[in-house]
Amino acid sequence: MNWKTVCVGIVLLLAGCATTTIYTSHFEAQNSAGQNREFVLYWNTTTSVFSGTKASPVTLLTQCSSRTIEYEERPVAGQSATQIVFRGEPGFDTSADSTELPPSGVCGRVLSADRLQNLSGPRIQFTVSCNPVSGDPFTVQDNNYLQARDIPYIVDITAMKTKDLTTDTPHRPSCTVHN
Amino acid sequence: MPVNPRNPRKILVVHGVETGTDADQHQDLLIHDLVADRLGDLDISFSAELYRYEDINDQALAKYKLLIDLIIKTPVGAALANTAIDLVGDVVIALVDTGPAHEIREGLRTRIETEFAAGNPLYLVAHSLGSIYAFDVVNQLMAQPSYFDRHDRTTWPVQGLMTLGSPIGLPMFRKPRPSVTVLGNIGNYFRWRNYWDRTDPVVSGSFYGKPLETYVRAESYISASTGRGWTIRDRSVDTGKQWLLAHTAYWTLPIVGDDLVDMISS
Repeated sequence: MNWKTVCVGIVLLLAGCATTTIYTSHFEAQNSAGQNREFVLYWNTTTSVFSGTKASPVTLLTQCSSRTIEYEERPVAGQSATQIVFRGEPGFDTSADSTELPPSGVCGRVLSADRLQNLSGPRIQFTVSCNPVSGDPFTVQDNNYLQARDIPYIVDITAMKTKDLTTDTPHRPSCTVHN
Repeated sequence: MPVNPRNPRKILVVHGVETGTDADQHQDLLIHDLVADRLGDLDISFSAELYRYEDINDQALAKYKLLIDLIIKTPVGAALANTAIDLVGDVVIALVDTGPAHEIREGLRTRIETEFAAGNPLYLVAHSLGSIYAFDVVNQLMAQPSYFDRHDRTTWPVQGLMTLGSPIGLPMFRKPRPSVTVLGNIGNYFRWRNYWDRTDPVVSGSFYGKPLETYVRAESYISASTGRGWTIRDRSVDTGKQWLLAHTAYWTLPIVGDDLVDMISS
């Protein structure tokens, strides 16, 4: 057995010892334009005996919109604590009650956990506090997302083990019925 | 000719260190299929093309490739592994403005300017070491008075940058690049989204794939003060793969495709 074979074997061993889980929610609500829409929320984690647990941001997709919202794990400024937040982008998001982004840049937060690796079902709570900016000539698709509101959203989560994220990750809900 | 915001989108893919020749590189097809799959029934006209430079790169990185081959074949490989990662950086740093790396940057710059002349909104997707070239060229273009008027995106040869598995947070790349080029005062923001897996050894610099604990890689290129005109987002993701397999898993990762759909549609 040569060293190349050993290295390939180690890689396969590492990959084989990991467990990947996709967490998904499908729900209906109003978008930022007040229209009824379907939404898909998903994230995934992989746990390995060698490298612990790693996770992707929580992604929120809106029917008939190209906008992709991601709730990322970020450190709280000046503290060792973390939080899971949707960071708005200047020029693309504004606070729901003004024409500017909030000073913190935070447009939403997952309330159910402070770390993505600790987030699981059976349901999660999260907020949305911004609106998309409209009217940019480069925006060629509806860019609405989940409507901002004071009350947190609470949605049910389904967990599924997977070997293939490409195949098993849910897609943006079809827009056909709204055309 | 200024960019027409309504024209079809063009995604220009910049690959990293690869085996084979230019003819073997097809990462543009992977990105095209990923975006098409994640678009679903949304109607956005786009195409993806690849900037190929592997034939030039083969000369520039011959030392690196030779060393990797040696490492794989010898029992002392593990002890030399971190040195190998350093050497990748050495090659790029040593060739900042001269030699093959210069040629690669000039070729990319010419390609971008050609797309700009055609008036199509252009988005760069760069993987691994390709992200270093893409970053450098965007910053070079931004320093030119004729491009990147912050108030007018039609003067922007590149509308957004997405990097995948980039080593740009490593000190060897960070040191000669103190920060991004200032885009100007008040106006639009240039978007840079940086996707990385915590166990990707090219991102962490740890050949053994020791997971990164930090949250910041690309975001270290911008200070806390506003006004540089960039929105930089580090996105730590779970590719579902470990170690070197993680480094090549971004091409088919749904979250990358979903965010690309977002980027090219605005």
